[in-house]
This record gives sequence, C-alpha cells and structure tokens, in this order.
Amino acid sequence: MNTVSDQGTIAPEVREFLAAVRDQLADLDPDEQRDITEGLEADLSDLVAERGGEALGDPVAYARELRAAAGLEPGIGRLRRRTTMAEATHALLDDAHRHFDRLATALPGDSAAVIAALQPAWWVLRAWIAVEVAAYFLGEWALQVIPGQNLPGVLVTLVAVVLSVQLGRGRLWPGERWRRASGLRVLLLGLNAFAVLMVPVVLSGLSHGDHLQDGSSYEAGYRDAQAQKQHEHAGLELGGTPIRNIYPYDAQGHLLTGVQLVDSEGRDLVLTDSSDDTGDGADHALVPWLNGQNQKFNVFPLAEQRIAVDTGENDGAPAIQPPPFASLPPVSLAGVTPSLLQGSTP
Amino acid sequence: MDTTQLLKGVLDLAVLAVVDGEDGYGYDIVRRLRDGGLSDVGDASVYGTLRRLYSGGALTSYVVPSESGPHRKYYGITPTGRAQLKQQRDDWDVFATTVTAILRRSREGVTA
Repeated sequence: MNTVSDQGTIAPEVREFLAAVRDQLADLDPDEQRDITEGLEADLSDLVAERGGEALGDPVAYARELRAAAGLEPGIGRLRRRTTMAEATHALLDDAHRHFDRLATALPGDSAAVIAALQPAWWVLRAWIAVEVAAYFLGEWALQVIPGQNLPGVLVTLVAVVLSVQLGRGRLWPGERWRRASGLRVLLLGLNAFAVLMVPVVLSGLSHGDHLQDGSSYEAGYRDAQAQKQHEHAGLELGGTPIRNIYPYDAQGHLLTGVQLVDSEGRDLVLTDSSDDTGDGADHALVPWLNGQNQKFNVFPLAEQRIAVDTGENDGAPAIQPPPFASLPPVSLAGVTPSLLQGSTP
Repeated sequence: MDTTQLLKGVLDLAVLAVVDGEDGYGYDIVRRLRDGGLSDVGDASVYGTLRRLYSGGALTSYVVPSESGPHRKYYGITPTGRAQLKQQRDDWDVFATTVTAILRRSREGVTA
C-alpha cells in the first residue's frame, strides 16, 4: 500500500539522487544492492526536508562513502549476508507484501487506498470473530454477542476490539520491536488467516443458532425468534422426542389437510426436520406448503420427501404419508360450535 | 588534525552506542550522532556502517511501513552487538585513558 504513497511523497531530487547512487552500486548483486539502499528514500527525504536539496551532494562521492563504510569496495569481496531463519521469514513476508502492494496498485481506481481504509473494519471484525469462536469452544460461557443483548459478551468484545486495533496499529507491544520477531509475525498471519476462515463459519452458526446450547434467557428468546425462520431447529417436541408430523382431525373426526397452526403469540408451529431413518431404509425430509413464494412449515400434515440413504437423492415425489388413523371419534364441547368446513362430509 | 580519520576508527562503537538505547532508522541515527557532538559524521558513512554491522550480526533490521511516506528501515541491537559494544567500549576506555595520560605527561614535560 505504501508503494502508492512512495511515488507521491518522494521528492524528485531524492529519486534522481538515489538512481545515480544505485548506478554506482550496479556491480553488486541485486540482493546486496537492495539491502544497502533499502530505507534510503526515507532517510534522504528527511535530509532534504531538514536541510534542503543541496544537502544531498554528489551521488558518486556518496556511493563511494557508503561502500567504504559498508565494506563493499568495488570488485572486492562481497558482504556475506547472515541469513537466519528469521531473516528468511521476514524477507519472504516482505516480498509477499510488496507483491500485494503492486497488485493493489495495479487495480483500477483508488483501490489501494480503499483497501488501506478498510483495515480498521477488519480489525473490528476479527475481534468479534475471535470472541465468537472462543464462546463456541467454551460453550457455557454464553458470550455470544448480538451486541446489546448480553453484557459480559459486549464487554469482552470491546476489550477484544481494542486489543485487535492496537495490534493492527503496531502498538500492542512497546515500540516497533516486536516486528523483528518473525515468529510473532507468522503467528499474527496465521491468526488472521484463521479469522478469515472462521467468518463464514461464525455467520452460518449465527443464523442457525447452532451454538445456543444452554438456557440463558436471552438465548431462549433468540431461539424463539430463530424458530420462526428456521424450521429445522427447535421444533415441536412431545415427551422430549421431536414430533415428526401432525395430522389434524375436525370435531367430526375427519382428517383435515392443509391446517395452519400458530401459537398464542402468533408464531408458526414448526417441527424439527429430523430426517431420521424411519425404518424403511430411507430418510425423510419435510416439504413445505407454499404461500406465494413463502415456504410454510406450519401447515399440516406436511408432505414428506423420501431420500435414498445411499445416494442422498430424492426418491420419488413428495407425498403426504398415510395418517395414523383414517378418522377419529367425534368430539364436542358445551356451548362451542365446531368449524364446519366446506367440502368436508359430516 | 582531520577528525574524520579518528572517527573512522570509532564509528562502529558510536553507532552501536546510540542504537543500544533505542532502535532507530538511518537518518535518526545520524541525527543522534550529530546531536551527540559528532557534527562531521557523513550520512553515507553511517548508513554504510549500519549495513556492515547488520551483516556482521551486531544489528537486526526491520522495515516499518509509514502512512505518509516511504518505508523506514529500523535498526536494533542484537546480543552479539551488545557484546561487541561492551568489548569496544572497554577497549576505548583503556585506549583513551592511555592516550590522555601520554598527552598529559608530554604537556607537563613541556610546561615544566
């Protein structure tokens, strides 16, 4: 990203001077040349800012002085670079960063600046991801944060955001010293990559409410809200066992088809789509009724779709399975007139 | 006497000493040396020295991206550099004391 600004902020005289110095060092191998001139842009820019362009002087003399002090006399032996594991790691990461910078700069428009501006958003997002992942693995900790719903979660997230931002700004460790530790750099890279991978996982976990295992009150409310959207989860149970389908009968005991059920709060009554093997060697998936484009899972009985266990493919057309009883005995309640349905035969 | 000749012999020591206190980038280190009184020190000599000390393992270096300008290359001292600094500091102390003593004696000889 900085290569963008490099072009803008390096004074032309510095660039010219440096080009002339590099010419004088042309006999060095590219690595050595890069090593000896790296950072000079910044140093020379400072010099010019402080004492003007004249302070640069003669590039040939400058190059000679640089060489002499560095022990790189023309044609004489080379500087032997001590390449440690850490340096190799830094070089690799620096190269990768330069590649990325070049790539970002090559993109149309002001992409590089946009990417740079988005960094803080990532710092916040990764902090939240970290808290979510921690909450997932710690289970009972109940840290799941839909901000504003759970105080400890919000506090922990705030702390994580501050840490993440300071880390991103390079302020978490005193000074810039930590940048020298290649291990930390690799660790940070790994954590970032992990956070990127966890983004879709956490988001899908959120929308399915998968990690809401305990019964804290806000989570129960959350689960209820989810139940309206997600028929697969937290559906009706009877004695701890999920209810597989519902067969309504009218007061006369006749089987009804297409009865919409809601609870006293107006929420759709839905089942757990257990897809269990029901003993006939096939799984069953519930098939919703439709209200325009809307899938309705609170209309009973629901049709079931056989799914072959071995192939996972649909097996035949969805159909309402035969009811447990063809009819039930009629019922009555004093003072209540039961519904009379058109087309139902009394 | 040309102080640049004297400087050459002790530039490594001076550079190590100013980097030892706090990591710095090239021009920053030049400034520290100048502020310390070595007003004749050449920028290129300092940068060359920094690279040589780095190649010798006395310094490490790391690049710090800057918001507003080109990357800065920072230098920090390594344990090797610290050992070298201590050794050279001791050598310098002995050397300076010896030379000072010789000079004082010769001056006393002249004035006596």
